[in-house]
Amino acid sequence: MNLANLLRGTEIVRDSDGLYVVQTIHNMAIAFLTCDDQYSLDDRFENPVTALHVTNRNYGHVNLNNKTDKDVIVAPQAAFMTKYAAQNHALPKSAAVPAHSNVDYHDAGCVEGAQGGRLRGDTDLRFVPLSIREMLLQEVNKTGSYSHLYSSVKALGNRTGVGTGTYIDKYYSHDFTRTAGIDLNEFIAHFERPDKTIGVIVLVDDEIIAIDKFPSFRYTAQVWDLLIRDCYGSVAIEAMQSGAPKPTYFTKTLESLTPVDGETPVQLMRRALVETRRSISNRVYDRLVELTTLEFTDERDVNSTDVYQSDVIKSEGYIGQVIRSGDYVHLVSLIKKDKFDPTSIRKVIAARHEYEELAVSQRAFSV
Amino acid sequence: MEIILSNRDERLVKDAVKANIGVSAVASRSATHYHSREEQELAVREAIEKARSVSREIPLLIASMAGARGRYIQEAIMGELGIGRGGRNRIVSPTDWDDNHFGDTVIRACFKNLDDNAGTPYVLRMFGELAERRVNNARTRRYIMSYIFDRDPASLEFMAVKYRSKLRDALTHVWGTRMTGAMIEIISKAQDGITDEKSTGIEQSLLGKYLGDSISLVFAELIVLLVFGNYDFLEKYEGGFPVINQFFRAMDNIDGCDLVPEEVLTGLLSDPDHSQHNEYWSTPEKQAATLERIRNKSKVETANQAVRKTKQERERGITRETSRVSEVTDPIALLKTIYENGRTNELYDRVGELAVKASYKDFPYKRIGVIKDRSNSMRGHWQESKNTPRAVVDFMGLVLAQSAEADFSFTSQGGATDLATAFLNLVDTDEDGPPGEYEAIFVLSDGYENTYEGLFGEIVDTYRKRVRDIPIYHVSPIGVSEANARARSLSGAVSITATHKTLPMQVASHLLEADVRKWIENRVLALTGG
Repeated sequence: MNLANLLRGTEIVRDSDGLYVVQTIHNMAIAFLTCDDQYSLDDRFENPVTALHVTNRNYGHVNLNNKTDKDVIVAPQAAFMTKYAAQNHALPKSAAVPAHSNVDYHDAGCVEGAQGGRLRGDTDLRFVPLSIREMLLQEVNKTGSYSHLYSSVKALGNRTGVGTGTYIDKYYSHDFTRTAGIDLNEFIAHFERPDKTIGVIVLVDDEIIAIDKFPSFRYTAQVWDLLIRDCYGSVAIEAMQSGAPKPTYFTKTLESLTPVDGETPVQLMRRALVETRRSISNRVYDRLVELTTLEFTDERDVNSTDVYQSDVIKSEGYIGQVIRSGDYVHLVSLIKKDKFDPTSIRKVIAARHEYEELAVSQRAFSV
Repeated sequence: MEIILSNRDERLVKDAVKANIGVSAVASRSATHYHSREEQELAVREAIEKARSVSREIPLLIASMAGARGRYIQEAIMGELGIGRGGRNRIVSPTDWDDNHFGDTVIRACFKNLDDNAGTPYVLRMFGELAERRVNNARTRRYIMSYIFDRDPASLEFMAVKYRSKLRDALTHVWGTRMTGAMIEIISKAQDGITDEKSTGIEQSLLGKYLGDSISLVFAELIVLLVFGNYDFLEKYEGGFPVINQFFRAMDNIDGCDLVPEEVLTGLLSDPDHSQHNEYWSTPEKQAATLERIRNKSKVETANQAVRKTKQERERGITRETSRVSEVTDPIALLKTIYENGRTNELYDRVGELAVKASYKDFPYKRIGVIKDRSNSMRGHWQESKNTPRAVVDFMGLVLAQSAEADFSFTSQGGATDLATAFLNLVDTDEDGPPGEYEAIFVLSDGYENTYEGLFGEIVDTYRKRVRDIPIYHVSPIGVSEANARARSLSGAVSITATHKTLPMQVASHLLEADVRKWIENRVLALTGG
């Protein structure tokens, strides 16, 4: 299994000059996946944010009840939060729940510390922050322990400077505007979802850290705001707190260009702007090319069904999940492992390329 | 009109004007997250007093500008009326201000600004505050009475029915309690034909001399009786005053009273003694049903409300005639209707008329460039309702096109917000020849740039260093609640960040920085029509 299989039927959104559309805030960038209309199954799935009735019988377990007429695919790693005193839970994986059915998940985990109380059905769905999705994916299929997600929540608190302990709601309710001058609403507003978006490629410091592909355009629109705020927002918070300077690609590109005869300052600026856009697009392209060289192993999810096969996929440097029906892929969720240094892939690719060139230049053996 | 501002006083006046322009654009009576109502009011009053102590004309010159908020205008007027004659004049001579009535001209301009842009309730509330502050000199009485009685009869009739208690308070303040009683008696007797010279003289001095040309004394008397609750004589005038007649009928039976404002009808019904109170108003369910019936039948519904209902009704299969398009005063409502229902010539022509009306009359720039953001975020926004930013930007574009010779450039639709390319498209020399030399560039955008954030600032900085310096105004269609005027800044490279409501003030502030004398001359000219 590789990236080409996983993202079959999709392509990157491009502008009128053929360059990737890349939206960048601070050091975080997003490129967008799109597809032909027939591969966006808008009417097949119900809204994952509102469709499910979530309860549980014991800690470490959730039951997702879909009372609607359509199947539901829960987007990657959801947390089910209550407004009353109860033990909130998170699922370390995506899930597919057919219409008019309910499914038990025994690898769910508590995310509310020492708080007791069952889920009674009236929960709000939130997305688990990107910073800890890798940790959650490592816990897929691990049953028998309700506390196996606590370490993830603590890690989230450490990374974002919020004293969560083992209480994830402290992160969701934290006022970053007051403590860090970061307005998450503004952050959401910055990223504009192009029409016909079916997935995203998320980069930080020019490295791909996540790829999410969803079942349809409508589904993407339904999860968009929450995904940006809850999931990708955590990465932006870390970046902004680190004080990373805003990029100045244009200025650097302009300084590297030599004016040609007769070129006005504005024409030179326009040339620099085009070149800047091209280099941003090329960087994303190069990173994607690297990822296409990876091969993924898969491990079957215990909640996989005949209709919706769910697998946890792993490769050097990345971990994720795919939900598909045969060869047709509904959902892909891919996360870069935190400790992975992608330069190792580049070294491999560079070496391979060098040897390929050498090989091409060699004469055939002849006696 | 002579400007007497000395070189020595220029700096002082400039600082005071600049500070007050900022306050006038954000002044509010409402409490915010960070400040109580009292703190807000005090802040505005102090700023005005401080400016007035520098030069008396300053608060009123600012309060007469489009973009000054209602609260600021109220305080500026009340402060001026409260001090009567006197005060320091550093800008125009005391002779011009008092004896030659320039002060009067400016105050009337402020009244008009308050009425046109904030509305009747603001003016009437101000009268109530004047009463609380016990400001009751001849000038004040003249302004109050002129405001009420120097207008067209239909407008006075409607105002008298809708704002009876506020008008009652205003007249009581102007006349005093004793003379109010005397006036009511004089007018009541006059209905029976009983008059004498003394009564006639009193009535003339307290009422008659303030009437506009289209208001008869008989009508004015009727209005006075109405606001003071003397309804006995209303039957005499059946047929002549449709709103008043319906109001009179509604005191017993509201059915069919479709000219009477909803608030008046519900006010009558809420009285337990009203004959229909039990039937229409005694439970929340009855109240809801009655309100719906009143609203469906009301002809008082504004044209603005009517045009926005066309979409809902179309979805319900109801065809509503948009015959009142020419009465619509809300361009945002019209544009949103165009986006949702499709464009008709009638709707778009009306938008154009409103743009002409809203254009800046003393706009200091003759040739401008305008960049319009057409990205997805303008269609739906977490801070504003659907399509509002887009409508505001479109309307602002039209207003600017009416105010100056304007060239436009647009961001591309659908993908992302790319203001940098739009800027270069605007200023680039093309094959047809050099672009016009823009005196200023206006960027109409919500300020959320993402390809990439900060690029626009780099482009503008580079342009300023390598080509020429030029003021850049970022106008945001998003109204931010706290401070009400501080829009999200696009970049440190822009000269001014404003919302569409504060733009006139922000432009003024920017020009003031360049040349305070010129700014003052422009203001005076605008007010004197010279």
